Amino acid sequence: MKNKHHELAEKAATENLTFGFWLYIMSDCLIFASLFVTYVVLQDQTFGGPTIKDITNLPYILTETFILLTSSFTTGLGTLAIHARRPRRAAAWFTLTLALGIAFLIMEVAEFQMLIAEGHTWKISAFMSAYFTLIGTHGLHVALGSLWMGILILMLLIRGYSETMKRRFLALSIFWHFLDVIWIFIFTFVYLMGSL
Amino acid sequence: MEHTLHTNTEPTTHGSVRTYTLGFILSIVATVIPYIALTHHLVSSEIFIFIAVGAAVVQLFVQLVLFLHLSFKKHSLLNSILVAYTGVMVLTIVIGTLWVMHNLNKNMEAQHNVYMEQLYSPRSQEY
Repeated sequence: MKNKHHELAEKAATENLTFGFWLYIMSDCLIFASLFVTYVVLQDQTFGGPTIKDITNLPYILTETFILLTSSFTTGLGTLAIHARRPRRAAAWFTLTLALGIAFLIMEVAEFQMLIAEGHTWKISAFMSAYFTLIGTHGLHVALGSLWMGILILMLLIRGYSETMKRRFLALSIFWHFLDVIWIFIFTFVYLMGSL
Repeated sequence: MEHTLHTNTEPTTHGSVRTYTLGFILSIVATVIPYIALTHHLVSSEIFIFIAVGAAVVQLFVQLVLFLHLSFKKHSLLNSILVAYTGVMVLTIVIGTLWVMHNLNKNMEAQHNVYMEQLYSPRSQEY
């Protein structure tokens, strides 16, 4: 009797946290929507400097896209392991996810560094400002998510599975999937459309 | 003691290897199609825009349903309503901004002043 009450209480707590976290993700969505449309409105204001076509390397972007997409897939497999109460298996999948996330970050930082080295900074035109802000904000989210992931993996390995750890991983996986969703739109509207 | 509810392995609440793999493959397809169409110049610009936007929307829904498990089932209904509402807000922000900026640019174009144009027309420069 008490056990069933406990189960239902845990289920309610998980659903509440999940909904609360979705609320946060939706607010983040509004921020990205604003940054997106700012970019779209300013993308032709290149002030004699480079255009989006000039700075886009499509195979490079496609690689980043596949890295992030695969990391979303491995997040799913890690989440399944969490639901199955297999902490070591979950830690393995999430570590792979983290590695992919870091690979994405390395590629993005390298791209930014190359641009800056050539003098194409965010200061030279409205387009470059909007570009760096949009892509940079997404990258910052990936970086913070990676940090969060690293911490959670360590906590899982040290403290083991609990309902609380499950809820944390559920929130993290929503966050990580959301980052890939945002990237779909960056990939399509910034890079693909930009290369038309 | 009766085995309790906690070994809930229902695919509907949190997916399965099959649904995640399906989502992964569909997302790859939705990524590759517009990429190939663009890099191999398979279609005109207008059609490409249609394909790219379509593929992005398809991939969005694939990931929302298969990765994020949004559905209209009781446990997910409120989340889905929230996402749909945010979608409306996003459309408002995006469409509203594009419309306003378009009008702004249109109104700030060079003004055609008939009097001034007559003053500065080639004929008026004759001595």
